[in-house]
Amino acid sequence: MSSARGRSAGAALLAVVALAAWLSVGYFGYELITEIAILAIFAMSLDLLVGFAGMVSLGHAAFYGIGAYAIAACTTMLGWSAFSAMVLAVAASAAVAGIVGAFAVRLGGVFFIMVTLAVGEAVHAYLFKARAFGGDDGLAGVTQLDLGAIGIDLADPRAFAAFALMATGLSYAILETVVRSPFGCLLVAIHQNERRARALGCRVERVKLGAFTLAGALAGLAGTLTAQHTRFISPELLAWTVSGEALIVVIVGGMGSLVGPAAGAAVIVLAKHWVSGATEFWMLCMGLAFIAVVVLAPNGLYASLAALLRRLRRVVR
Amino acid sequence: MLLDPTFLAIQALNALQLASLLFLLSVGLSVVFGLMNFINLAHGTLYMVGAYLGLVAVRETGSFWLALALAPLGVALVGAALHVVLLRYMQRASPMRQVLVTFGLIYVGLDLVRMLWGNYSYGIEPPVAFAGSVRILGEIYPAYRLLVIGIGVIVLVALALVLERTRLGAVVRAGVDDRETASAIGLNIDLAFFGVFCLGCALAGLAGVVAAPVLSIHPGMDMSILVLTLIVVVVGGPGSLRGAVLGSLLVGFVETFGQVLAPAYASMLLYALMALVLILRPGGLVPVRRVVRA
Amino acid sequence: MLCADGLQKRFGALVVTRNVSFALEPGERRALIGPNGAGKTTLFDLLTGEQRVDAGRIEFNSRDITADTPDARARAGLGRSFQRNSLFAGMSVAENLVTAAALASGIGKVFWKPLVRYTRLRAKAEEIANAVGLGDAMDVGVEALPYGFQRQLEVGLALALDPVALLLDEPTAGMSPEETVAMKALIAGLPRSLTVLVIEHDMDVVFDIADHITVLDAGSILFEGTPEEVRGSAEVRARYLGEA
Repeated sequence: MSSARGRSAGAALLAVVALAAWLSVGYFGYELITEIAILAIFAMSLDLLVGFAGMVSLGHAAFYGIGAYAIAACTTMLGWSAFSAMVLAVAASAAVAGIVGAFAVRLGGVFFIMVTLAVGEAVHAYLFKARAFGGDDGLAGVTQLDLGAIGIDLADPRAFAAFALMATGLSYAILETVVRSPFGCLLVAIHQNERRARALGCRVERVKLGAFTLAGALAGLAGTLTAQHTRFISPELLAWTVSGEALIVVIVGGMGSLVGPAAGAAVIVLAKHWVSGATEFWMLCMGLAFIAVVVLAPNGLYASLAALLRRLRRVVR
Repeated sequence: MLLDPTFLAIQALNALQLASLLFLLSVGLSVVFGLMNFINLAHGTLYMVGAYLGLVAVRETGSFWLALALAPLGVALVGAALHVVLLRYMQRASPMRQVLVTFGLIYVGLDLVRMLWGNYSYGIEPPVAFAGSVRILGEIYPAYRLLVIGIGVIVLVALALVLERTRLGAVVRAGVDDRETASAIGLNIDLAFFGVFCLGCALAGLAGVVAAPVLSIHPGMDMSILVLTLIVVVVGGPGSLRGAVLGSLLVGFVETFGQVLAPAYASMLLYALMALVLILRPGGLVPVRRVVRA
Repeated sequence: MLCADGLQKRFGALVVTRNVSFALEPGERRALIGPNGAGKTTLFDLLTGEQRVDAGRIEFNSRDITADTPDARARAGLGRSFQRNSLFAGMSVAENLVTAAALASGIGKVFWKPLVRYTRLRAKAEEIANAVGLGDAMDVGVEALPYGFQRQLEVGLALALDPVALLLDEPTAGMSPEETVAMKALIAGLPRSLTVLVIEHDMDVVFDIADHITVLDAGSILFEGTPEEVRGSAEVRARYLGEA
């Protein structure tokens, strides 16, 4: 389990790195930063489920996609402002997560994985076929948030990257608060010994549902950012590979640390771009690296790093 | 149109064909899950490999029947290798890590297939004996699809016999029922698991070859069938032949009729079915009864 | 305080609990003894709700709890320790007890305030740790604790619930003689306002702390009485105590 102090230190470090990067990169760099920031939000929300609550979901992209589709539909089809659409989108993702979660949280480990995968595919298949939402052509022309009042134009990649990073910071703050709260403590307790938690009076399903819904809402937030970034969305946002990639980020980065997945998002995005430049078989590399991590360092990079630091401190003393 | 007997008959046959395929895929997955609480998420990948191996076999030997025999063997060997090299170490570690490793294998399998055969779609011709069509209530229906149903039935009967009449079957049934006690009385559960796992891989490979003349062979064919198979395992209940049969029939019919009557909502319908079953019977339709020590 | 009426439970063809009825008075110390496989732990599972009864009624604190979930019964004040340690393995002793105390005080729904702000929970955790002899091990991780200490924490968690009735399943299982003495003192020292039902194999512990003893055999109640009556019963001696 990661310690609150370790996480805060890690978060501060990442914030510094992010700021330095934002100040020094050029156009393509801003695109990467935005991509990393959005994936970080998505991965951290999944970490709440996987790392803290012990609920491995392979369908998390469903809520990401719902967020993206909701803002796209509201702005392109209903003419709503991006702000109202964002609010609705996050609420919609949370609502659907609540509905799915209501029965999914009663399921144990492997069943839960299978059901979440099926749900993800169900939503994907629906949006793929639904002409009302553009079908496999997707929706184009998503409006961005209007920050003109404070003199910011989000069409400028530099500004959007900063906006995305702020959203990442906010998401981290929310998750960190939840994780440190009594509710967060119960989540971890349920993960470690559900039977014992129940025997102590914990309403296990209710707590799990709360986590599932919050994770869904944050995934939806990430979705609204993607929609505003690329201004075009398609059902591919909900493909199982998106859920899978997020899970890989969480596990490689280090589950149960929030900071690990955020850093992991950077590692994966950068590695993907770098490897894709050299070979088209990016998935082979990612799959092998993932298997290696699961076999050799199952608690991920964050835990390995933390263990290393502990050992170094002992040596220094 | 819905009440037209010909339409119903044709779609029912389509549903049975899908159910047959799903049965071949789900029975191995289900029994392994019931035995070891382990789900091989790369099962769809094995199905895909089976289809490609079948393609190679048909090209090299010209015989569909030979491919039908060789591909499952090939896939069983792949499964055995994976188990020996990788999966059995994870078994000791934790079921979750084992599942995650198989998840990583999906990505590996996908790119390996693309490396060897590219992104194109291929097909296999059905065997000459079943290349024609038959008349079903006035409509023509491909004879091959009836073969698919037949193969499913044959495998079902064979498995039922193995489970009921052979020593391996007895060990498997004991292990699914109460693994601790079965090990304690000296039954080699690990060996039984290995045997069942390889058999499950072989069946996945068989399903791949059998499906090839009907569906196309391409990277990505693994995931669509995997999700349906998982729904079968969840709905039918893990660990039993009956569960796999019931689940396959239910999913086969709902998916087939759903796709024909309301294509956009077909997956939603399946999901609703799964939710309904799990709410009423959380262990699936044929749950594994775990004996609790007094 | 805690009454069972006609409890029945079977697993497949095996009848594990056969028409079991008993009643505990408030503050009573009752021991549940019987050979292995008699169904003692299953009876506990029925009382705490981990298993559903096939037939019969359970009444706790004048309320029918037969249909209640395990967590509902815990919230109603029914605490339990398990035969095999069931602790929060990744946490320290203090964290275990604080978690239990947090659940007992109903603040589990708070997701906006840090847990560390609730200083009274830490105080309560210290109090319980001292009561079960773990006062000096507060920050030790559970996995690093010796077995006897883990057993004590097992009881401590149930106590942190502020229970009205306590079900202890073989609290001295696997303990050394010294540890057993400590556990015996712990149980003897529990407030008399607490109703305690203990499953035990160690007859010294049983005869020391029990007001009444219920003997379970093959799923049904063989005998019920005071320690003297149980010692004097030829039937119990033959079937269980192993004397000629």
